[in-house]
Amino acid sequence: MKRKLVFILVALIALVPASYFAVASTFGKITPDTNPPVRVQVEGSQIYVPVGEPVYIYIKLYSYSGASGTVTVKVKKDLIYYTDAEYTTLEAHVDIKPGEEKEVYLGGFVASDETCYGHIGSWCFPGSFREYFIQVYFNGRLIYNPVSVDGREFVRTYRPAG
Amino acid sequence: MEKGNSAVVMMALIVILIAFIYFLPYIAYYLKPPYPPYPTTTTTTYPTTTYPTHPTTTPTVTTIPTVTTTIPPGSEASYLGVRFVAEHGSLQKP
Repeated sequence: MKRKLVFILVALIALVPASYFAVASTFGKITPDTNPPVRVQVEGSQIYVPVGEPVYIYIKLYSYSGASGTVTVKVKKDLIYYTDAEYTTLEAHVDIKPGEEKEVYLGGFVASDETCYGHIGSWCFPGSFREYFIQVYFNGRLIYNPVSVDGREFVRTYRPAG
Repeated sequence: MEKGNSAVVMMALIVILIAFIYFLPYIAYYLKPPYPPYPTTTTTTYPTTTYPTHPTTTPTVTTIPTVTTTIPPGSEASYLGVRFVAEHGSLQKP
């Protein structure tokens, strides 16, 4: 009886991080058909938004010789105590003329996690989410993979007062 | 020899001995062979060397961009940047 209880307890502890990563990649996704809001209060490469806020993504690309294909943006969660987890994937088709800089709208995602640095007081364990960041692929090839936590583009969240 | 005479002789001998001991260094000084002459010293003048002055350089400060673009060889398009847009929020930590 005791052995069974210990086994169940160990299994539950192991399942907590596993379930964290098992979150579907489509969760929180906003398709490119949905237009960004008309009243835009904040736009930039490093922004802070309230928890639950929809965030829309525009990617700027350049091609020397011209390119046509699919640009894919993986929105990832930067977790302090776990390895980074994929949050959602956005895709769009793009045609770029030679020497052209083109901005592509890819849709967006809902920033549902609250940025939290450890904390025991208001309890943000486990994993402790820091920020959303992106990886960019063009026709399946990784063309942008930032690693600097503070230097890269990010979306961090906060709990609005009141 | 009488007792008194022998005492005087003894006293005289002692006085001579003391005087000898006293003057021994002086005697030795005069008896020792002369020192060889000291070698004459020659002053050597070294050539004066002038060192070239180090050129003053102004340090060049290179600012490293915080965001680097990864362009793998053979890729058709390269990433220039991202713009996040939201209805509520801020650019600074609230």
